[in-house]
Amino acid sequence: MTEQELLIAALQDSQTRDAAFAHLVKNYKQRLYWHIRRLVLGHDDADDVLQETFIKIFKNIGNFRGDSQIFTWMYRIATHQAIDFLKKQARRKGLDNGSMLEDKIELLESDVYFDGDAAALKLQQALAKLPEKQRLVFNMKYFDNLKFKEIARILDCSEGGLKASYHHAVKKIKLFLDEK
Amino acid sequence: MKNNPLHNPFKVPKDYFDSLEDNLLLRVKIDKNRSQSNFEVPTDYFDTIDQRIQLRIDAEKNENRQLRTLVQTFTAAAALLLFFLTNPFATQNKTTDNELLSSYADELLMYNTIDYLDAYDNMAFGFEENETLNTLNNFDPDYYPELSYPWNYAELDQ
Repeated sequence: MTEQELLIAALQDSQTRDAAFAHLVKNYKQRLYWHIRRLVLGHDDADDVLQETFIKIFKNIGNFRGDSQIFTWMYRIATHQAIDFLKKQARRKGLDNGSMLEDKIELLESDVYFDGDAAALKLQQALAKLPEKQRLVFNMKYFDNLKFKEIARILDCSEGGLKASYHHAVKKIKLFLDEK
Repeated sequence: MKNNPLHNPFKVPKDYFDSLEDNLLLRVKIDKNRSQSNFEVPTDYFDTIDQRIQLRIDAEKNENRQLRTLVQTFTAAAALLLFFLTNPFATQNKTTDNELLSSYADELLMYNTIDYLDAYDNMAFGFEENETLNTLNNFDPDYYPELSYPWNYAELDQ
């Protein structure tokens, strides 16, 4: 039995579930947090989404079949939670996703939990202008160093389509950076 | 000029070289940012997040347990109510039992009353024991109109 299989077995057994889940949180909290944070930008929002993600993982661990890596599965949940969160937030404010992200980036300048310089802010502005899929792919490839194969599993898309999305994203970001 | 072999046929956008340096510096800075996150977290955030997640999970479990108990209670109550409302056997039995009980009560009351009246008659008119039995065996409701159904309890008490 591999380590992942042991972990899944422990998570699906009601007697060992709590301990196995604590292990899971301990091992993956940081990676998931940073992935979520890059998508929602604010710390408080990232904290909310991270907690919701782990609750969802706990509730659905019984349905995990082990076809993919557990991290890929968790990453997928975190991504969907973050996207849902942003959509709900945009709907509440009566904005489209892009405009809402731009508002959030303006707030980043005064955010005590953001210490980026002008270049970092500019990159965030460029990212906010991308369509959702391109932004996701760019974040996962550029910052998280995930392979296209893994991203394809997380987003449930073809690898070819993702590569095209990534190259479009890079091109647009370059253009945006060259503009000003 | 066109015949000059050193002529460069390629052109660049206006001010390209003026902004090139800035753009390159920006790119270099961005690439540097790639490895180090500009986002920060509050002190001890990652030390306490495990506990907070565990608390949320526990709360969720409790909520689910309470909800399950509530649903079970309501289901049982609804099932019982449905059973009594829709089961004709239960309703019929209940009616029959009531009717039976009522008839027993009437009968018992009637015989007790007859005994009482006989004893009273015996005392008042000095009937013999056999006569009392005969009276009991040949009970004539017309003779005791107050014993005919429905009972008039007020009259019996007098």
